[in-house]
Amino acid sequence: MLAHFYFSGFRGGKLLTNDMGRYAFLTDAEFAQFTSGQLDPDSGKGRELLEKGFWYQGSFEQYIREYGEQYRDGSRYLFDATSLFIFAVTNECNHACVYCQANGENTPCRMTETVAEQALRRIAATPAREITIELQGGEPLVNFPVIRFLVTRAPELMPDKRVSFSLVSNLSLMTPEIAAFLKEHGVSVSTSLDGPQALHDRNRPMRGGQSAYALMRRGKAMLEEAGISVSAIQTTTAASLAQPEAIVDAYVENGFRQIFLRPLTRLGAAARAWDTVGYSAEAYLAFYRRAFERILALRREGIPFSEMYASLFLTKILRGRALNYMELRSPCGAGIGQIAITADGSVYTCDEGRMLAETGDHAFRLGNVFRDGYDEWMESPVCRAVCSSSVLETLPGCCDCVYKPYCGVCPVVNYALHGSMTHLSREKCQIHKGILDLLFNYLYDQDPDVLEMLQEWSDQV
Amino acid sequence: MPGIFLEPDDLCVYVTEACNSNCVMCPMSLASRRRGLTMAPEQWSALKEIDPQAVFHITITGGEPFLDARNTLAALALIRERFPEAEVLILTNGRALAVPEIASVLLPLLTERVCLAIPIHAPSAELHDRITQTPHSFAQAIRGIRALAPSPARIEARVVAHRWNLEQLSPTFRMLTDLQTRITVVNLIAMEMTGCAAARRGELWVDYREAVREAREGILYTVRHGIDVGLYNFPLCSVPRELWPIVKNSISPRKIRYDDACENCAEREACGGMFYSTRELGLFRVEPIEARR
Repeated sequence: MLAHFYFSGFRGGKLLTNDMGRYAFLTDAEFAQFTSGQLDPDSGKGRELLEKGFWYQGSFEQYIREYGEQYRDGSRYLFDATSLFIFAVTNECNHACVYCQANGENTPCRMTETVAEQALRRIAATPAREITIELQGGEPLVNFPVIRFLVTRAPELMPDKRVSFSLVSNLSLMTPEIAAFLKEHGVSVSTSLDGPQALHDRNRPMRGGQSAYALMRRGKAMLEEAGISVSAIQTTTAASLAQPEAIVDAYVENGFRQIFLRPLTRLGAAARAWDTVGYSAEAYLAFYRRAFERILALRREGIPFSEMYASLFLTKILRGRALNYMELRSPCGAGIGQIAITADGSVYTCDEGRMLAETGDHAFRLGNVFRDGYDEWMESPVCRAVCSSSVLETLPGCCDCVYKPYCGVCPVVNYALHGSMTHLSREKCQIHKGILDLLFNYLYDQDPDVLEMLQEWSDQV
Repeated sequence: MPGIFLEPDDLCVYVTEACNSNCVMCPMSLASRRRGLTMAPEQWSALKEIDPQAVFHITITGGEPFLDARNTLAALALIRERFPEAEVLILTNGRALAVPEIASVLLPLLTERVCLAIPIHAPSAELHDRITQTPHSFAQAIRGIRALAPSPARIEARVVAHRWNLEQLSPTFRMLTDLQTRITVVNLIAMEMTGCAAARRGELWVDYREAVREAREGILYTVRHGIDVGLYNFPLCSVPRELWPIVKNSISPRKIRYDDACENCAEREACGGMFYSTRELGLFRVEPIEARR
C-alpha cells in the first residue's frame, strides 16, 4: 500500500518526499510502476521505498507502529512550549542600517529593571525547562545595565530551568569589562557581518560616521581575548548581489566558520527603501548559488566552512530531525515557539511581529507583561491566528508541495506585504524552493565530496 | 529472585520480593512476597561494573523497591552519576513517597529521564484499599504522587483492570485527570495472569473487551485533557479501532504468545499478542481481524 507522500518532477524523473523528511529519486517509469502497484517490492527501488516509509507491505497499523516515532520526530517541536524569549532591551542604535527592521521612528525607549523583572516573572510560567533569552535591540549594549540585571536575575527567578543567553550586537560598544561579564555568565554572542569593509559599512553606516566594520572587529577581538567565540549572520542587499565570493571570503578572513546568507525581509526600513536595497528572488538565488560554489571551492582548498540556511534544511532532509527554527516549521514558531518583549513591556508573537510594531502596526501584540501573563498570551486570538495561518497542511500551494516536509511560512511577512496572513509571500516561497532545488540537485548528483560536506552540515545546528 | 539483570534493552534492578501492599491481582505469588527475599548488599555492586554505554533503559522494581529505601536511593544516586543518559522506570506503589524522610532524599535525585509508575486501582480510598487489602494505601499513594510534583520526573499512574474495579475504571481515569497534580500519563493495564491473579482468576478475570469498553469514556476524558493514555498488554482484537493508536506493544518478547487463530489475522505483525499465562489458562478468545482495503 502507498503511504502518504509528496512528489514533483525533477531532472527528467520524480522527486518524492514524506513527512519523516525522507526523499527518493525515481525515474518516470519507476514512478508509474510504483503508483500503479506494479513495482517489485524486492527490487532495489522497491526496497528503498519500503525502508523510507513511502509504502508498506503489511497492515496500516503495522506501518504506523514502525514509522510513528519517525513521523513524530518530524514535528518534535510541537511537544515543546515557548523556549525562545527575545528581549529588545532598547530601540536605540548607533547604526543606521539601510535595511533596519528593529529600530523605527519611535520615541527612544530603554527597558527598565522594573519591566525586566516583571517580564522574567511572566516568562517563568512557560512549561519549557530549557529556555533561551536573546538580548536584542536596537543595539542592546546601549542598555548594558539591564542586560546585567537580566543575566543575573533570570536564574534566580527560574531555578528549575536551564536558562541560556545570547547577545545579538553590532559589538561597537564592547568593552573588556562587558566581555568579561559575558564570559563569566556563559552568554553566547552573535554579530552581523555583511561582507568586506566597503560593503559592510555601506549597508550598516554608523550615526557618528565611524566604520561599523572596524568597530565590529575591535569588539570581536575583545570577546576573543575574554575567551568567547563569536558567530555572525549576513544580510543580503542589492549591493551584496555582485560580490558573493568576496562576502564569503570576508567571513573566512575574520575567522568565522559559518555564514548565514539571509535574504532581506521586506519589513521596516527595508520595505521603505526596497527600490534601492531590495531585489528579486531570482537575483538572491543567483547570489546564493555563487556563494555556495565559493564555499565548495574553499573546501577543496581544505578550509571547512558551512552555510546556515542549508544546514537548517539538511538537518531534516538527512537526519529527519525537526528543528525549532521558527520560520521552517508547521505551524510557525510565533508565540508557541518564541515571543518577543520590547523595552516598554509589550509582548509580541515573534521578532518579526515586533519589527512590524516598530512601524506602528501592533497587529501581532499578544499582551503586556504588566497586564497579562503567559497563559493569556498563548490563548490570545492573535496567537491562535498566527498558528492556524501557518499550518502548511492547510495552505493551498504548500499542502502538496514536494518541499512541504522541510518548509515553513511567515504570517507576519504575508500580512505586512499583502494585508493577509495567508496570502503567501511569493518571494519567500521562491527562495525556499530555490535553495532546496539546489540542495536536492547536489543530492541527486552524488558527488562524494559534496555529499560528505552536506552530511557534515546536517549535524551543525 | 532479586538481583540485577542486564538484558539487551533493559537493565533490571529487582530489589525485593517483599511488598507493603497485598493487591488481590498481584502477578507475584503470596508465598514469594511472604518469603520477601531482598537483594544482598554485595549484589548492588554490580551497578558499578556494568558498562554505561550498554545501558539505555533501567527498570527498578520489586515487590516494593522502597522497602529497601536506603539501597534503592543509593542506587538512584549512582545511576544518576554513572548512567546519566539512561531512561529510568521505577515501579512503586508510591506509598513510601509520602514519607518525608524518603521524599526529601529522592526528589533531588530525580531528572526528566526518570519515570515513576504508580498503580491506582480506584477513584476512592474505599475500593482502592480493598483491592490492595491495605488500609490507608490510597491516601498514601496520592500523597506520594503529590510529593513528586516539584520534581522534573514523569509520573505515570497505572490502572490495572479486573472484575473488582471494572465499573470504576472510567471514574478512576476521571479522578486521576482531575487530581490537579502533575501526572503525565495514565495507563490501563491488562492483568498478567500469574501469582495471586491466577489463583483468584474466578473472581478477578474480566474479558479484555469488557475492560476497554468500560474504561473508554474515562480514557477519552483523560486524553482530551492533554494527559497521555496507553493501553498495556491488550491484543488489538480486544480494542476498538479508534483506540489502536494508544495500544502499546508492551509484553516482553519472552512472555508473548499468539493463538493459533492469530495466524489468520491481518494485524498479527502489528499486535503485541497476549501473555503466555493468559493463553495457558485459556481465558481470552481471539478474533482474527480481516484485512482492510
